[in-house]
Amino acid sequence: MEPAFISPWLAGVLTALVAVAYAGVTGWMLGVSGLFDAALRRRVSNEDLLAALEAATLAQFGEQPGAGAAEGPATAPSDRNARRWFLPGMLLGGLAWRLLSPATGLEWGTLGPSMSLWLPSLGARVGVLFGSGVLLGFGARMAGGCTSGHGLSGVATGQRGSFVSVAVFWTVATALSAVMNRVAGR
Amino acid sequence: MACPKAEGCALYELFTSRALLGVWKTYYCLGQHENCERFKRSETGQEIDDTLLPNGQSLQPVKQR
Repeated sequence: MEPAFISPWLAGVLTALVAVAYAGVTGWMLGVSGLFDAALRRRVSNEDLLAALEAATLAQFGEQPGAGAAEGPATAPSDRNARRWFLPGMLLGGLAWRLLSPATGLEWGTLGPSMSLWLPSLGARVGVLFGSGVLLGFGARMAGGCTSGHGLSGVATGQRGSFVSVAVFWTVATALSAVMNRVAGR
Repeated sequence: MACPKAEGCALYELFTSRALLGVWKTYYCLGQHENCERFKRSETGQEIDDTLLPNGQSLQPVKQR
């Protein structure tokens, strides 16, 4: 069965709304790989580092009564909570969409007819997906952002590096997709 | 303009954890991020140590009792 994906125009509008809402709630531009990286790096948030950072703060800025405190915490709890919940929310949102929209015609683990042709076994698909995720992570960190950070936030705010990044990954992805579809006879 | 690299910055998380540290965020992340050493290194693709401060100095963790 040919999967019926959501209209790319509608998906684009919805994705843009997510990016705008995220910026409105947190005050920061959306970047999923950056959020993932930050989540993994929370291990450095220990008391030793914080104590050293406070000492460095006083050395850099001096004794400033209420520095950063006069206006309350540097980041409001709702801000930080919104950022922490974004990643699990993204996964749960995709799952909810799948459960509530059975008409998409996608079956669990198939990833569409092209992937089924290239990778007939589920094990191979899982392996390729995992490997792709690792490579994507490396690429995103090397490029300073991923499709959301560069493609949504960076381009929208006129970052030159983001235009270059989007041009590169868009060209490569489109060419690769065309080749795969051609070989698959679609 | 806010620093576009803040979300992936290891120190930004710390800057938001205590009120005293918010001055870094105000001065660099929300202010002159182009003067932040971490930002400049990320722009040139250099490795950024978790202990590198925005002013270019290295953070020396101290053990607390």
